[in-house]
Amino acid sequence: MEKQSIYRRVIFPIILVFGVMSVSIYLYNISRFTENRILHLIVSHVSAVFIFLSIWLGALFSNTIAFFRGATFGERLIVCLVPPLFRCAYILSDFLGIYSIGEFFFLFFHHIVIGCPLVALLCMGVSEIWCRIIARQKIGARAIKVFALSNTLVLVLSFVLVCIMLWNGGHFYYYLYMDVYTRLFV
Amino acid sequence: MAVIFITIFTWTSIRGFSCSGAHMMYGAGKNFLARPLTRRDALKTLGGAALMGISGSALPNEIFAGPSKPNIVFILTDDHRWDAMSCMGHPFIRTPNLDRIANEGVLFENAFVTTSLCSPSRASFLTGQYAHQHGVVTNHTAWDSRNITFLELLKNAGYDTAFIGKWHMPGKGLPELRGVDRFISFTKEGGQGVYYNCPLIIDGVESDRSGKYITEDLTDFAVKFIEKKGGNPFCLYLSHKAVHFGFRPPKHLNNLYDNVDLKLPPESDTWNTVTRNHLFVGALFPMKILYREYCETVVSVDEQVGRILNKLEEMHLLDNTIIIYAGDNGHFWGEHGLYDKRLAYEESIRIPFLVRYPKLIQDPGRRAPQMILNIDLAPTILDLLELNIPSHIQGQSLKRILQSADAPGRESWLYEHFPVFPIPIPGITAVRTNQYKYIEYQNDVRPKELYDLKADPKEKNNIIRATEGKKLAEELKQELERLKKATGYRFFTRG
Repeated sequence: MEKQSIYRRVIFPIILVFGVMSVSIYLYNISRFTENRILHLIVSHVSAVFIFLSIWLGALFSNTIAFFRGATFGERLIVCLVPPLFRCAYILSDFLGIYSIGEFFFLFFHHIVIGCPLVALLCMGVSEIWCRIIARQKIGARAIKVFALSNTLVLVLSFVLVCIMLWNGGHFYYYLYMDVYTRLFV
Repeated sequence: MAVIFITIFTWTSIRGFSCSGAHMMYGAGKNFLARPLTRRDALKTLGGAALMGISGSALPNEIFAGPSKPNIVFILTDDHRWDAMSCMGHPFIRTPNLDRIANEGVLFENAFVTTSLCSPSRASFLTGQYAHQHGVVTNHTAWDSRNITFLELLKNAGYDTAFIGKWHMPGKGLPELRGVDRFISFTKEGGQGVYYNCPLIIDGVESDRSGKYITEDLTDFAVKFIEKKGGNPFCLYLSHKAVHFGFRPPKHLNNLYDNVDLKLPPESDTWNTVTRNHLFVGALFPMKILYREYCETVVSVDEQVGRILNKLEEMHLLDNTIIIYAGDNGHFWGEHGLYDKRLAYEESIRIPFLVRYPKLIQDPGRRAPQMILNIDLAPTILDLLELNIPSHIQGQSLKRILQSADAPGRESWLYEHFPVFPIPIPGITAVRTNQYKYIEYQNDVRPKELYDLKADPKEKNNIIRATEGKKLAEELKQELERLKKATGYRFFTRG
């Protein structure tokens, strides 16, 4: 695959996901202030769909774009992780001034926060499979392995961690997290 | 002592005869008390009294006792909003049993919690103190065993006591709660419990409750406690898990409101629960699903309240029992684009508060507009039983308001909230008066707020920057500081 410019292979996919995320969050947040109930519902539903797609499934799209524009595996990792990390920062900004520095850093391990980049990695792992299959079949890049060590590792590790976090509806991880919190801070 | 009893009984017997069958025994038209008592008459009566005294069961104990002390039944639910009852005009929830308490007692239309969060509010109900005094400032701070509950004070006054249900204050398991004869609770899921199959700790012994629905299960224990009433009056503290998040109605109420227009507030939408960091409070489902299940779960609570009322009625205890129903905090259902509670807006801090006690309430069905608080429960119960209200209690007795619609209520009160990790809501202090609410946030991480509750009951227009608001804010700020000082307020940075 032809290696395109850094803007096209790295920055664009990031901006695409981040842009959709930001705009949809903004639209959702202002939707409730509209007097028109129908408009409120339309905007809230549509923006909610895009919020979900960009936050939780954004890496499926951004990784695919980056892959076929010649981004390296490391670059694709960056492409997939930057938007969710921005999302984490946005979430954590709501906690500024409320908790201590130690608690603030511990928040990063909350499943809603760390879940974002982990799910992005899982999406990247899934996306890598179809990208590699397509690359092998359509472009003829037979040297590319569908399950190479790097992408398989990302897929398996992220899958295991996401499963742990979702186990029993997320209660298992949450109570474990809070137990650790209590031991450390209370 | 026996002689005194017999003499009193003789006298009461004579009085009784004088009022009822005396004319049959001593001649029609001639009052027994009006004629001189002969030696024969006196001996007859004394002999009869002695025989009845020996036989024991021939007379009810009440004849020898003073006026019997009332029993107490306090039912506390979780996250039950003040308006989620048919007696408060809810568009579709039907709560006939709660309505009955309201119709036969007093419904407090302006009842509030001093902290809108489960554990602090529950500790405030028990102790009559603000969270900053009893120390349970969040759901993560442990119960201080030095705290004195009204149950302990009632036990000391001769009551049989039971705490049945949600305790939900951290620590190693459940505490050694002083002053309770029966302590039935649960520790599953950090003390929140679950609706089905929730293991209970029954007087220290864990019990599997497979197949049980928790609201029914706890009510079963409450009913058994009432049934076992002995010579002492009792105080039952029935504290439900319902209607806290994880909402699940019992099977027979599943889908009860499937085809109902939920009439959620206009600013509410399907995705409120999963946006704006509301995921941190654990809401994973769209608003409509959660609200529908919440409403169905409220109905199940009402059904179980009905069982308690029926049992008291069946045992002829109903009118000698002070029944109080309250919620531990309110709940947002999309108002302000919010979900959950904690914040100082009305939807979060207002609770249902119903009192039924016919011996005191002369105008049943009254709606009391006075502002009352969860910390008023303990002093009210103590006052109604004519027990001393200890000085550490910060609430006020509601006895006068229960007696008279014209009794004055408080003019202002302090609301407090402490940060609860990991929820992105700062510490809050606020003062609410009958007309205004002024809110400050920890470290000013959010702008101060001021609302005119009469002109803007939904709290949509923050008037703190308006001309009239600036002056009011100064006055209310001073009132807030006064209340903080008066209640010994201190801020807890960690919970």
